[in-house]
Amino acid sequence: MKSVQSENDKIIFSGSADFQRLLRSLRRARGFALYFAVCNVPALRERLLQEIAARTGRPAHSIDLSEWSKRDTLPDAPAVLQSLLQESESLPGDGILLVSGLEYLLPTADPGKQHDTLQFLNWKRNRFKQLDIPLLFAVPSYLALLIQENAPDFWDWHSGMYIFPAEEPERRSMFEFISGQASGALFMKETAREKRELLVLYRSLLEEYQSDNSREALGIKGELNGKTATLLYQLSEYEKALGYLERSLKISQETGDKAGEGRALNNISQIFKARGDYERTLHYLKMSLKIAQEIGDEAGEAITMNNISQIYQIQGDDKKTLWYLEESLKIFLKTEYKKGEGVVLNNLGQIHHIRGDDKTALLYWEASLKIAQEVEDKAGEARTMNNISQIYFNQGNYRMALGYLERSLKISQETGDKAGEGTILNNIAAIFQIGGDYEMALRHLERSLKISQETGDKAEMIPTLHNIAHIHFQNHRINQAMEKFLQAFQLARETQNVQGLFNVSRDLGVLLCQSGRTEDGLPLLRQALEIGRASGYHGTVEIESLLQQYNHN
Amino acid sequence: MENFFPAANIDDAYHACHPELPLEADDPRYVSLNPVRGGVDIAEVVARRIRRTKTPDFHRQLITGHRGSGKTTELKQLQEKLKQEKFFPVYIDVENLLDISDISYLDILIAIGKETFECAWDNRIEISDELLENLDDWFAERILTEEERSDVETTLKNQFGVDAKIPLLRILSAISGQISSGSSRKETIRRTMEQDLRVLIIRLNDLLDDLRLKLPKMGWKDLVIIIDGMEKMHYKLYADGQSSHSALFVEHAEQLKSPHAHVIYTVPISLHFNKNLGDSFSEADVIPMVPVIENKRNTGAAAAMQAMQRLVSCRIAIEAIFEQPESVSELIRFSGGSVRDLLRLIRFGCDETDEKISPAHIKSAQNRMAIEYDRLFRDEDLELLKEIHSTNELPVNDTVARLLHQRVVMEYMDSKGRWGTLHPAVLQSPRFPAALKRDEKRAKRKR
Repeated sequence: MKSVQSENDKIIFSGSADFQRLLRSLRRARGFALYFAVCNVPALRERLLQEIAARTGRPAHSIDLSEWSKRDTLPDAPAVLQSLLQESESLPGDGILLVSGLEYLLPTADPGKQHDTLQFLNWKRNRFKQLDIPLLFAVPSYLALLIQENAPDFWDWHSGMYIFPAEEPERRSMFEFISGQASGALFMKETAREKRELLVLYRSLLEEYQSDNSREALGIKGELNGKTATLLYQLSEYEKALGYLERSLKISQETGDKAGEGRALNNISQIFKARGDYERTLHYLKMSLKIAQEIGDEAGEAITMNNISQIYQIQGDDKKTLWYLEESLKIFLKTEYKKGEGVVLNNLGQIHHIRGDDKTALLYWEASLKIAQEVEDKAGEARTMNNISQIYFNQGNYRMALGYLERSLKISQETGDKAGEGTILNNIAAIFQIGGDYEMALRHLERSLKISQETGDKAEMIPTLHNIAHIHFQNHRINQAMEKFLQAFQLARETQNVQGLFNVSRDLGVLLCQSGRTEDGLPLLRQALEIGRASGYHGTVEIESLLQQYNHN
Repeated sequence: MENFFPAANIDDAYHACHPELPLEADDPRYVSLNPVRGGVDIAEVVARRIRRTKTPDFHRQLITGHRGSGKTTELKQLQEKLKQEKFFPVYIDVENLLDISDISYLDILIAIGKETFECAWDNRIEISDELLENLDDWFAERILTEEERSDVETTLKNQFGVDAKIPLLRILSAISGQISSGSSRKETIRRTMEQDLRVLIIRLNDLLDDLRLKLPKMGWKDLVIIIDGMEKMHYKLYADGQSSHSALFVEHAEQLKSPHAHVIYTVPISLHFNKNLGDSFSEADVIPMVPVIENKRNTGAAAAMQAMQRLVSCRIAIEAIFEQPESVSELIRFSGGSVRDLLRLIRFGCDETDEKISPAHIKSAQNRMAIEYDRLFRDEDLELLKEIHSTNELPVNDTVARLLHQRVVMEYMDSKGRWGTLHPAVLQSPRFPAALKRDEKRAKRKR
């Protein structure tokens, strides 16, 4: 984090009336007293606490809760209070406690935890009194409001709220830092925790720009909203991501930023895709496409057409899938956008693979691989190698399949592509499973699960849990199988992942029917059928015959 | 209790005005605001009602009040009054006992059991061993696992040092501890208790009855249990339109009224608007804000102002701290009658200087509070706020409940009933005056 220069700090703080007031309060307070210093720039918060520690004339301990979040066990409010109590005991009677990082106990992306902390603060506020020395929290402004509104009894004890707005240079430098971390590739390798840290940062910056409606600020806000949405999407927080995308869209529309508008529409479509609402997905994609065509954004046009093809593929409309892929390819070839070409070739391989034409699929995939290696699209390289391995898998050539998977895995690990790593581990597990080595299979699946948990990728956890369940079933560990299926089922419901629900309901239903528990299994199969029909999934017809089969017994 | 004289310098004044300490009953700084609140004198009235309730009936009621109105201080006064009238008061602050994420009536019943028996034990009132064992056996059989039972034995031995003659306490501590820690056992425990609820209540009441029989021998008339802190419950609206508050106090009112004792619960202000509350609890007293607002509706302003002045002068020597004594009146008015806000305003004033608080400092303090209150209402609330500002009527709906909860809107009572205004800090906030001005302009244009 770029830190603000010290010269400026002294001027900023010395001239700040609130700084003087806060110092005075801290000097005077006897026994417990609660204070909030509101400042949206993390580096500035740090400096502020340092300056305070130096100037009150009282022994001060600073605690940064964000350090806690890097430990293995995430902190909860009671644990933090315990720690504060311990700190306070080691301080002399006139000591003061300065705390930053409270936002880690109140993560927006984890409403359950946020609720628990707010409840604790409000309900157990008397415990804070036991500190018997003044307590200052340095927080971003949205956090102060959150506490004010949701822990009003705790808030009502405060003796002062002191505001330290960021000067333009700090705002700028914060934004530049964020912009510097531009590409989407970044988000694939962060752990869930790192993503949440970034979310806090974005949020604070958005606060700073809240009342600034200059053109420049709008542009920045639009970008921030977009980035926040991407992170939330990665964490499977689809509803929240949608909210930010809608804001980003609105801003683009207001400022006449057509390119931004098209991007936002495209991204919104992906949220609906995750929810299984393919009609709306297509609706947004087509709007995005229209704009791309309007403004002559050929890359955008091709990307959107590629995305449209994927929807038709899920719905089993091979003709349309192919059409869109070929149109997309034409544009990529015309504009010589190699990376895009590689992606489409990969998807063309996919559709042929699904149709059973592995020979053609292999040709496409090998072409895609070549391009990926040319343009050093590591993610694409890993993805295509993963796909090629599927062909060898189908041919029964497990050795070749494993070879490709291991190369793919290596690349994913190098680039920190956690999502890719998870998928590949699942595929490697499948090979071991076929070979009857359930032990190894399970080990790989569990590694995959762990990664998904770290990155907060709930969508990816569903097929992994699903596969683990299958192995348990094969080992006659019915209860464990059931447990994992249920976990997968719950996740699918929680994240409204329709594809996941479809798969799990179907397989769990079949499992139950096969085990003779048709009363439990049939409703699940029926649910899968409903979903399949509503979303137009491949494989829905098979469920009908399964239902007939089991109904008869 | 340290000797306390009105603060004569600004550092002491700061110390004298802490927003987070309720006063103990015998604190010389205590000024009774009851005569001027316009509501009832809680200590008087509640004690009277209890006195007049003859066995086998019990008096059960709710008390509510705005945050920072001095509710806990008043409850401590009630405790004193009850003691004077020879009622054995058990004061329970739920903060110390209950789990935070969701409160069930079961937790409350357990808390009542635990605290009452601990209190009795501390006062050397003997409780029937047999009844204790009955309840103990029931818990041990139905609730605890063998492992848990031995865990608890060890803990209590460490805590009390001896084989306590209070097996019940043992079990109750275990349960309370488990419930407080929010372990996953909690759910299983709760479910089991619910199934056997009737039995639980019977056994609990057997013990309460026994206790109440023993009380007269020690000079007490009867038992009164005060449960404070429930108003801090998180307000959540459920899909069926119920709130977390009503789900507890309305739906489970019968269970809350089941202990054999006079019971007083504090509840959130939002419940006051619940039409069904009257069916569950016959009395729900409000501790209203002190009506310092001067307007046509308020006849009690002068007396209220005086009382608040006394409150301030008990804590600080006004001429020594303020350049102009009228500044105190200004701050009192600005607080809208909320004691906590007044204390906080004085602290804000102290923040400004090392010597005396001048009128300019007062303005600054008021401005800071206005900024804080500005954050608490939304743009969509402006219409409603304007309405309340002009009519002083308080409609009954969720928005008003929320605004009351945040003290954006203040509620007062007099002989004619309840009325309200906006918190004076809101009138000075950045957004509200602008909204009013827009209306004026519009009105002018229409003419």
